[in-house]
Amino acid sequence: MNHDDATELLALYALDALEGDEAAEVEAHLVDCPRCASELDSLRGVAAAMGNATEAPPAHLWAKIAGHLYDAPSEAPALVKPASVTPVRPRRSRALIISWAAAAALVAVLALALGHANDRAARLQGALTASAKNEVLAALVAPGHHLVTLTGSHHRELAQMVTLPDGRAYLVSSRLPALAPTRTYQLWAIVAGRPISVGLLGPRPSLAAVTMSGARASVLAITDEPSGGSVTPTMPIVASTTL
Amino acid sequence: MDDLSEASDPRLVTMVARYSEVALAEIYRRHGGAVFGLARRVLNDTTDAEDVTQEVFLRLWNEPDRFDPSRGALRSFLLTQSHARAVDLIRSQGARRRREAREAAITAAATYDVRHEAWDLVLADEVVRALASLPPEERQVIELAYFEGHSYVKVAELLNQPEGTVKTRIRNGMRRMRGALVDAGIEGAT
Repeated sequence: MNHDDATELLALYALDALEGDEAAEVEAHLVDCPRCASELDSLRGVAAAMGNATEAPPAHLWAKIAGHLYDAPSEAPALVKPASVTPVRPRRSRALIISWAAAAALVAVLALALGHANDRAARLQGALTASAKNEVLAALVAPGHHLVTLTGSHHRELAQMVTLPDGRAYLVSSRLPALAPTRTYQLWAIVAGRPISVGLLGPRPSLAAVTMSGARASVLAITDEPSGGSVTPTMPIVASTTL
Repeated sequence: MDDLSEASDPRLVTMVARYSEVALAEIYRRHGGAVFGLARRVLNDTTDAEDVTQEVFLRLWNEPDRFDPSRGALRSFLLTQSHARAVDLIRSQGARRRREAREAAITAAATYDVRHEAWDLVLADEVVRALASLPPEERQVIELAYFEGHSYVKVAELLNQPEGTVKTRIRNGMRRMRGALVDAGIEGAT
């Protein structure tokens, strides 16, 4: 297909109104015609402006999408063939991903409420994996959520938490080193200068839900404690963030 | 510093390339509604639109380098993907019955008019105005192709017009649309 023929068809291509051979010929021309590729980008922008009508997706859809992030990539054909492809990213090794999503299925989840920490830990440990995961996913798109990073020495990022306006908070990722089974990480909220235990995160934290009811914490901190937890934090603080 | 709501779209895509789920979640929060809305509009089916939305976001997750910020806004990119996939689906065997039901409705509804749809973005006003400023015969072919997912050949058949006429009308209409959007200060969706 020569340049003039392709130019004539670009608007139709941008609307996905071409089929079969005609679409294939335009695509072939686009590969080595930057002028047409750029014109197509512009026309696709026009099409997208027409189709730009936000509609609230069903509430469960995000959790469904997030649940498939670590599936093997599908063999589905490319949705849209780009006019030119410039790979900017090396292939990633899936074995190296530090991800709560992958780890969540393997690690027991603790959901602890302020004041009833040990009780609820016993009841909920290991029972919440699936629903807590969905809850965390929902929190990541909830209005008013804040993502905070807890850092250790040398500003190393050791954990991320999402906090919601109603006091719920979720540990969403952790690079905290594993502790001996007789130890546990404990999360503290510093309220009016005093540390209040928020919950036990276990020796190998991955995903956790906690509630900081009513209290306006100024700092979140994680310490290394004996497995039953402590009444006051044992120094030094492993990771912390100012809220 | 970690408030992703302030991060630019290209920055979020860079984070997605490093497997940041929270960055993908933020992109979904910003654009998920538009991706879903367009797919639902073309497919007229919520379940199919969910599948398309899921595919579009998983594709961004698995191949974020397909988005090139120098070629347009992230929303345009996502909407292009959403539209292409929705059109594939509507033209597929499985969706044929639903499509035919809608075709009957279109043929019957002489007053079919995109302006009566509820659009909730500010720029929708300008887009509606730009569409309305097109000659009716150009607007009609663009709407049938884009919102109904018909090929131009099918549009020609539906309207009983020569294919060459439909081609020319779509081409002229799209150029006119672009001119009107540029005049209104809109260059593609943002």
